[in-house]
Amino acid sequence: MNKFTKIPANTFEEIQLNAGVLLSQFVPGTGTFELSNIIGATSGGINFKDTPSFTDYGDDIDNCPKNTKELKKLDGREVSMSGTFVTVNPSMVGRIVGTATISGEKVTPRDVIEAGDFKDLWWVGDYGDEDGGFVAIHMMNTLSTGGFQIQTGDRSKGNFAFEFTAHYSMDAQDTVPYEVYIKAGA
Amino acid sequence: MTKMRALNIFFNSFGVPAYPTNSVDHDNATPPYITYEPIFSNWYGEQTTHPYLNVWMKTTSEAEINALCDKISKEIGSGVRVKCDDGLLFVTFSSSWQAGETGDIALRRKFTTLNIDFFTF
Repeated sequence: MNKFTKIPANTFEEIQLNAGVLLSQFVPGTGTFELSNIIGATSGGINFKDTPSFTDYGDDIDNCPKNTKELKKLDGREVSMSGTFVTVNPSMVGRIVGTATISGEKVTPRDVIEAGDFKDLWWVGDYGDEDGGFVAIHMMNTLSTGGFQIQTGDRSKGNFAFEFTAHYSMDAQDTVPYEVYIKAGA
Repeated sequence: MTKMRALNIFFNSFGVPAYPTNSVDHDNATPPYITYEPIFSNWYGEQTTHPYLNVWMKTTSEAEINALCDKISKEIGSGVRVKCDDGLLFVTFSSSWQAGETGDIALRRKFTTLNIDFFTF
C-alpha cells in the first residue's frame, strides 16, 4: 500500500450528491421545504461563488514581503449563484429580470430598484450516505445581476441563464450575506 | 454487508426477485424477475460502472411489463443511495428502457443501463 495515498475514513459520509434545488424558503432546523418553494427546474448544476477581494497594505512598502498576513485587509466579497433554468413562469422571470413588477401573467421591467426586489435564495443539495442529509447555502438580499436572457434551440428546451448576487444591508453591515448549513442525515 | 450484497438487496426491493446475470437459470427461473450485471469497483478504480438491468416477465402485455419498469424508474428517480460496509453506492439511470429479444413471444424483456458510482473502499 502507498502510505500517503489515502482518503479520510469518513469520506463517503461527507459527499455532496446531485445538483440540488433552488428554493425561495427553507427551514434548516428541520431540513424541510414546500414543493411550491422550488423556484424552477435547472440544467447543468448550480455554481456558487464567494470571491473575496483583498488589499495588501505592504505592497508598496520597500522590503516588505508580499502577502504579509498582518498587512492583509479584506475589502469585500462578491457572493453569487449562477446556473440555467429550463422552466419558466411569471414569478421566475420577475426574479431573473430583478427589477420588475409582476401582475398576473405580465412581467414589467423597471429601471428603479425597490427594496422588495432583493430576495433571499437557498440552494439545498443532498449530502452524505443517509437520506435527509443536506448542504444548504442561504444567500441574503439577492438581486439578479446576470440580466434576463433566453436561449432557445431547434428540438431542445429553452434555457434561461441566471446569476444572482447577494447584498449586504445597511441594517446589518457586519453580516456577510450568506451562510452555509451542513447536516448529516439520520 | 458487502457492496454486492447491498446491491442485491436493493435490486430485490422492487417486488420481484433479482439475480446477478451469472446466477440465474432462465429455464428454471419463474418470471417476473430482474437480472443485473454484477459489476463492482471502488474509489481507486473506475468509480462509475454501467451495468445492464433486465426485467423479465411472462406476459403478452406491454402495459404490464412497462408498469414494472416505470415503478423501477420512479423509485430510482434522481438517484438512490445504497449503503454498505465499505461506503456508499449511488444508483442513477444511464439510458432509457428498451425492448430485448427473448425468442418467446410470451416472454417479454426490457432492459436499461444504470450508472452505479462506487463511493467505497
